[in-house]
Amino acid sequence: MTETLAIRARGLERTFRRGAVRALAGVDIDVPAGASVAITGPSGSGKTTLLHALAGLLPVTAGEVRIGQEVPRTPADWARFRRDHIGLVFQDDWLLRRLSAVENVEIAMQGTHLPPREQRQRALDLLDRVNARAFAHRRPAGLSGGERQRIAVARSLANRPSILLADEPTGELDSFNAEQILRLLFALHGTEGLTLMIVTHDTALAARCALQFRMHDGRGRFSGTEKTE
Amino acid sequence: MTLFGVALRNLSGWQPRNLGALAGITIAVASFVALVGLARGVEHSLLSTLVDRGTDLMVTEAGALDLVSSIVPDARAEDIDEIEGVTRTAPELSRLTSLDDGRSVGVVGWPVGSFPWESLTVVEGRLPAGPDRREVAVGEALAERAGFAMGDEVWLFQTRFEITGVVTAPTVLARSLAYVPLTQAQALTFRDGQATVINVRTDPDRPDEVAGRIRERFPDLAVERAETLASDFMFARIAAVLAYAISTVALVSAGLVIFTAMSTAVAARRGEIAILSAIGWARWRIVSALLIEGTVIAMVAGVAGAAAGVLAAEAVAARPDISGFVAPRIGAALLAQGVGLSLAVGIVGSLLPALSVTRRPPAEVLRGK
Repeated sequence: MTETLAIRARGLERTFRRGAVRALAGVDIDVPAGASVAITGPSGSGKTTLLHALAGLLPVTAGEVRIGQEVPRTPADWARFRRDHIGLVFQDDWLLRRLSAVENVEIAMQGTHLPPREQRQRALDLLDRVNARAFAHRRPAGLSGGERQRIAVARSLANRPSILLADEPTGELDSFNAEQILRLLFALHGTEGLTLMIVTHDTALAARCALQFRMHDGRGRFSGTEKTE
Repeated sequence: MTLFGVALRNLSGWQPRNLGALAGITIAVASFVALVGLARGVEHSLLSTLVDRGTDLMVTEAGALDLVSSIVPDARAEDIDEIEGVTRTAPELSRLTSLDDGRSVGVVGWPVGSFPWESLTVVEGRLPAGPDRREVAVGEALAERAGFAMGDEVWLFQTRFEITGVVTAPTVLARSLAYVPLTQAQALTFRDGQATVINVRTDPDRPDEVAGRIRERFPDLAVERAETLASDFMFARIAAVLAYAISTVALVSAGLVIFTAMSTAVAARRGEIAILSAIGWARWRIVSALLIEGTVIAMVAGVAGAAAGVLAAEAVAARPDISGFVAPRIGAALLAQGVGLSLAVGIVGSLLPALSVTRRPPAEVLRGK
């Protein structure tokens, strides 16, 4: 049976400092559509670099990333793919401080040709979905870390992505808020069929994912047995 | 939310980086407008003071560097008066002297009753009545600056004069001079029978033809139309060069300040720019948003700077030590130049760093936080 792949990467290499540091040393990875994947490994092993490469946030020195059936090549291609297919959640919320919560979600819909009124409605619906509707019109400075991260999750879903990439999304949250965010992400993964990839140091969190991709010295491989979802 | 809306929201609030850019551009544009306006005011005042006397031709010593150093026999006025096409002549002696308080003042001597006096409007009192009288009419700007009133005594060339009238004239320089009978000016400066220039009025539309005749008859004299002569003389040339130099310096300085302010404002936003790119904004869209912000800042600061420049120039011109010598010449064109400069450099100053910052992969910035 042929498995549909959300992401397929081959021979990903990325060096820094004129080749002195090899953050990615030829990574191959196939991510099945709808899977949940934890990217694990020690600090400096290349986890975040891999995630950034898979999202086109960082050009690779060599190799190729295929998203679905297409291969984005230029920065403009990647921007369009991120807007239309890839949601991103970072350790830091990276919200724009002068925009309200709902506006922070709306700006992700720029360039989608969705009329402003529908953008606003969709943003409010998403905030509702992540339990953030109550502070839709407040700016990030007046919100807790957990609340801000929920808005960041809502923003990542603005354009109905098929892939959600999260880089230590609970790294700056207390355990209660961290659990809330994780439940939210896995619920979205379950209900929306999102392909979920999470960079994490947390073995408990990794264990909640169906697949674990372990990085070490810039190389990676799937480990363990696939968990039934 | 529209692109314009996003850009305007980014400008909302009193953010230090926007305030810094705003203040920098405002000061730069204000400096440009004020400096150029003052320089042009000096130049214009020099030229207009001569032209506005109603003189068609000015006859001077050939090769003289400026009007004050030119020496011409005043008797030439009568000779020139006989030339066909000449309707009136008036010798003039211009000198600089100092008042009691040490401040300098320009003194102009004309024959009593000659036509250049007609360029003055008596505000109070009367003009000097006779060639033998030590009487002076002072320009109203001079009167105001020095605190002169009709009937006061004033010392010119170490000699006591009575102020018989206060006069006004079209230019601020003309309003800052003292006017005495020619004979008095000649006697007190040891220049009996001498003039610095002979003012000539001709038949209408014939000044060039008449100038040719004067040159033919007196080849040792220089004959020019008033506006040409005024702009050719050293003071006018110096004023013109100063105006040009100051304009250039102000323009370059303003450009650098604006460029730096805008570049700094854009560079400070690398994080925001990276996240916009990460959520899928195309590069042109990010650059457009930054350009809109830069343009709004440049426009607001340009207008504020132009207004501040007018106020600054007026304030400088009103200083007691130079009051009356120069009136800032700031027209719509100069104001438009100031705002245009702000916009042009503001747009370029936003565009270049925006292009540079958006060229960097977002991950470089997002990881660096």
